[in-house]
Amino acid sequence: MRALLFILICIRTVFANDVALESAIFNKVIIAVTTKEYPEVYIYKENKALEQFPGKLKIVNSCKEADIVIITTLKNLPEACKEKILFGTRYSHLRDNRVVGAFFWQKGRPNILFYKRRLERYNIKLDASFDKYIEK
Amino acid sequence: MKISRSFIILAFVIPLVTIASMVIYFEFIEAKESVFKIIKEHLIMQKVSLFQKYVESMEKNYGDNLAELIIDNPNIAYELESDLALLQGDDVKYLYMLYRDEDGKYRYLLDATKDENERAFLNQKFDTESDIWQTAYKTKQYQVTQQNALETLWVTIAYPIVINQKVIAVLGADFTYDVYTQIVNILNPIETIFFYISFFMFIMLLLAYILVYLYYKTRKKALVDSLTHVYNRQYLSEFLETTSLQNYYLMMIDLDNFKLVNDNYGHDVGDDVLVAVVKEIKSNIRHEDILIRFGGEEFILLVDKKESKESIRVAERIRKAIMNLDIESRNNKINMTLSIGVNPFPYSAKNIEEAIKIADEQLYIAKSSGRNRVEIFDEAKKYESEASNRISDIRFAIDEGGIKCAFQPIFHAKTNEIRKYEMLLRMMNKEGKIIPPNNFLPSIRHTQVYISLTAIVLEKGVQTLQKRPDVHLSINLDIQDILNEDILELLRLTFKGNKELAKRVTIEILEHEEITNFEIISQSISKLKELGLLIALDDFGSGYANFRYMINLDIDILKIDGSIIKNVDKDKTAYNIIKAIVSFGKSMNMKIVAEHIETKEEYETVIALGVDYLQGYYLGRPEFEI
Repeated sequence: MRALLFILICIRTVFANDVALESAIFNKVIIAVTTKEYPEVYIYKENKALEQFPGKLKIVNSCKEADIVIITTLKNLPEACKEKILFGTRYSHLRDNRVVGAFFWQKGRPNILFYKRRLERYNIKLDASFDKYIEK
Repeated sequence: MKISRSFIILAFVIPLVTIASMVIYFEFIEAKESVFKIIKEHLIMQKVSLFQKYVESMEKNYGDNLAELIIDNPNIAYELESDLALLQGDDVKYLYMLYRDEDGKYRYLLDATKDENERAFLNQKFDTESDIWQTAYKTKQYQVTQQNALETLWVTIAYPIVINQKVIAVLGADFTYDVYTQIVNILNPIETIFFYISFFMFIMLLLAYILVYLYYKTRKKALVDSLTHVYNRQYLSEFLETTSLQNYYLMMIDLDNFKLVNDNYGHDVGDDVLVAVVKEIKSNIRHEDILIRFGGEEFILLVDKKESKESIRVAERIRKAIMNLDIESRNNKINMTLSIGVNPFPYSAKNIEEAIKIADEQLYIAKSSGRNRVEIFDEAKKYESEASNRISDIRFAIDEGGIKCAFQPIFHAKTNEIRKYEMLLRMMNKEGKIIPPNNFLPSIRHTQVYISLTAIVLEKGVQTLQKRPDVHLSINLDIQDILNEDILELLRLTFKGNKELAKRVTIEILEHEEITNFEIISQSISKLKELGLLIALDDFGSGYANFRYMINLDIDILKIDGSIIKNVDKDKTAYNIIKAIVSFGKSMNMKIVAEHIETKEEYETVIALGVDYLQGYYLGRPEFEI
């Protein structure tokens, strides 16, 4: 899995800025979670990286259409979104059991974290490269 | 070879300064990196020393179950975290303690990071981005890594906490770029100055070489003939600045009757012929040999002596090659010949002009002897010293329009009206001084330059006749000239089919050498008369001229030599000679001209003797305009 992180960090150098790198990591993670080549994503409320560089992610305007919801806050989360897979952008988002995982920056390093039970709840199976990021 | 100051600057000074400035720049970069390295090592050692003391105190106070203790006792965690925070300082941005769980994942035990948003929770997973953590666990030695992939971090230290020979946790310290940035901010202006100096010098160097390239490209253009792509005359002088003629044969090559090609087929075909001939010559010489277009259809060939011990072989090879060459141009098939004059010892000449003159004289002989020939200079012959200087002056005058014609009036003795003008050749040399023909004509008489000069005089004469329909002109030619096929051809081309113009021209023939073959001269004179030209015998009564001319040649006018006219009023012998000439001329139905009349007495005496025409300073001086 270190290889994955290394690749992602390398992408950062190629992509030249944090925003592009963040988008690349989101793409990698969201595609793995949804197992779709072009997943539909609803962003609550905003994410500059994905809005600027969506990559293979299709940004939709409502939770109803979305395969997954990327949250930047849990405050006032629309009801329709609560039924969807939630993916956090802060470590603190993981305190909410509905959030299956998160990608966030800490100490200048990219961090990815999933909880095994939450993944199982949504019947999400990630490939072995994500094992290091899955907490029991 | 002369090395100019600008060449030294371009070739040595600018590159040296550029290299020096680049060396300084790279040395500076290297010095900067060394400074960073020293500072980095110093910071690391400082921090490691603190960690060592911290770990020693832990060893005293805690056992190898430290991780469990911290996890189970928030108070201990808080206390240790506070102690850890004391070690942080300004240079370390993140300071934390990790442990490795049963799955091999690293988790936070303590985090003394000041920024709450960056602070991790107890037991939170830590995603490792390098091997230092694992290595620290394995080797029990502290590890350092440069964080090249992470933008905000500079250096990370992983310091293992070893208790009872067992690594129970690792202290992590992330140095930020703050220190680095501070140093960079100090050094950057100096680095920038060095960079711009190096960059500027590099650009200067680049520009200098571009300029040199363009200069030599333009220069090459200036030295190469645009039509034939062989060198031009300018190249010859440049070539001789650096090279001796010691190793070369000098050949003067001239295409026979090339003017006819131009006249009959047009200049485009003429150009094609020149190109084809040059191509053929080049295919018969080596790369070391130098072919130069010297004039219209005139070339100089410098043949490297290494090629052949005998220059005749090379010259003959070229002559035969051209003779056998079928030139096709614009649906015309043309065969050309050329004549070659060879100077096998050009280095013996005082200068290049003299060496060329020797070859030119041989070329003249080749032409006079029927063309399509090679004539080689005999070593035994002596060089005429003065001639070389003259020939360069004349070539210069021809090129620069310094060939002038003065017109001296010839008066009718009875009516005192101007009947014609004698064209007198003058040359303006490089200094602007007017040179009379006697000072330069003898030295070039047997060269192609002489023919060029004759062509110029004829052209000027025709222009004057066309401009002034009332004027009759006398043009001087040497008796040898009318035997020269090139000059005869020139006259034919000028006056054939234009009898009205020819009728207003008298060719004054002057002899410099005794002529024995009157039959050939007579034939030439007949040819001129057929064109409609009048023939006068100049300087009669002096030199080799004798009455036999009058008997054998069809002469229209006799011009009595000036030396006899001088003092005719006082010299009885001269008086009697003129009287006899006048009497004899009249009996032969010739007109008599008395020239060089300088006094009133001379004027009156020759009128009394019955001459038909008068000429001299007393009556009218030569003028450039009529």
